[in-house]
Amino acid sequence: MRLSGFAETSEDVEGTFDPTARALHAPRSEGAEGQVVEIIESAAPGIYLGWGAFVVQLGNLIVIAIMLALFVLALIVPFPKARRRK
Amino acid sequence: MSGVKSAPGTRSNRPSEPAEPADEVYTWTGRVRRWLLRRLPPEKLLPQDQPSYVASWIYVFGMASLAALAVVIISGLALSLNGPAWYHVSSLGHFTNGVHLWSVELFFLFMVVHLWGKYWMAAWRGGRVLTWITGVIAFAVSIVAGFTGYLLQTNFDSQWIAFEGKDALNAVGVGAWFDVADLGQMFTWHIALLPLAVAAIVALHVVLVRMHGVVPPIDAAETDDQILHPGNESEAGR
Repeated sequence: MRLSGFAETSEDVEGTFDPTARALHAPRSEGAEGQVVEIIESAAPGIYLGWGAFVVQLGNLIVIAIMLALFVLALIVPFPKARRRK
Repeated sequence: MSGVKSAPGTRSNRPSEPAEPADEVYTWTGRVRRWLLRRLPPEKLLPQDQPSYVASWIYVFGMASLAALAVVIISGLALSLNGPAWYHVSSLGHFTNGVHLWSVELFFLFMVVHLWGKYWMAAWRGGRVLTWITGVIAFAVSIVAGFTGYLLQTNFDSQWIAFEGKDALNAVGVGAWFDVADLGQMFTWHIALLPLAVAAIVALHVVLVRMHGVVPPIDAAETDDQILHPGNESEAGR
C-alpha cells in the first residue's frame, strides 16, 4: 500500500517539499548523510519507562505530571484579589 | 480575573421579562427573538459581574483553553493559506508550524485540567447536563482534529500513525470517507470540516455556560447569597 502524497523513491522526491524525503533520497554527499543521521535521530521512538504492564513515554509522563501539578496548584494557590473599581 | 465585584444591587440571574407584549409578536422571526431573549438575555450573554467563587485558579482553565484554541486557529489559518511550500521550507513557516503544534499541546493540557476541575465539582449540577455533554463532545472532536494534524506532518511519524490507524478505521467502516492514507482528504478534514465542528461545539458550550451560569463549588448551598445575587456577597469574606 502506498500513502498518497508521501515520497517513497528517489523519483517521488522530484517536486516534493517533504524535507525528510528529500534528505533520505538525496545524493550521498557528506552533508546529506549528516542530515539523514540527524533526521533519523529526531525520529527515534524516545525514552520509555515501564513498571510491570504499565509503560509510558517519558514525554507523555512529563505532560501528565505538569497537568497534575497545575491541577493541585490551581486548588491551593490563592487567586489575586480584584482591584476595586471606582 | 476582573469583573468579580459587582455594582451594588446587581441581580444578574433574575428571571427575564419578555421583551415585548405577546400580542405584538406574530411572525416566526419575532417568536425566535422572544425565545432567544428569554433564554439568553444580553445581561447573561455578556455579564457585568461573576459570582465571587469564580475568583479561583481552577476556574481559569476554561478560558485558557479558549485562548489556546484561538492561537491554534490563527496559526492554522496562516499555515493553510501559505501552504506546505512555505511551512516546510522557510524559517517563518517552521516557526508558525511550531506555534501551531505547541498551541495544540497547550489546548489539550488546559482542557484536561478544566475537565478534572469540572468533574470533581460535578459541573453537570443545576441543569448543566448539556454543558457537560458539549464539553465532552468538544474534547472528542478535538482529539480527531489533532489526529488528522499529526497525519499532515508528511514525515516518518505521520506515515507510521496512518498505517497504525487505517485498520482500526476500516474495521469500524469509516475508511471510505475517513481514509488516513489519502493526504488530500485528511487536509480537507483537518483545515475545514473538523475546525468548523470544534468551533461550533465550543461556541455552543460557551453559550450554555452563559445561559446556566458558572457552576458553583460543590459545598456551596443553593441559598448562598453570592449564588442568588452575584456580587452581593459580604465584604468580610473577600
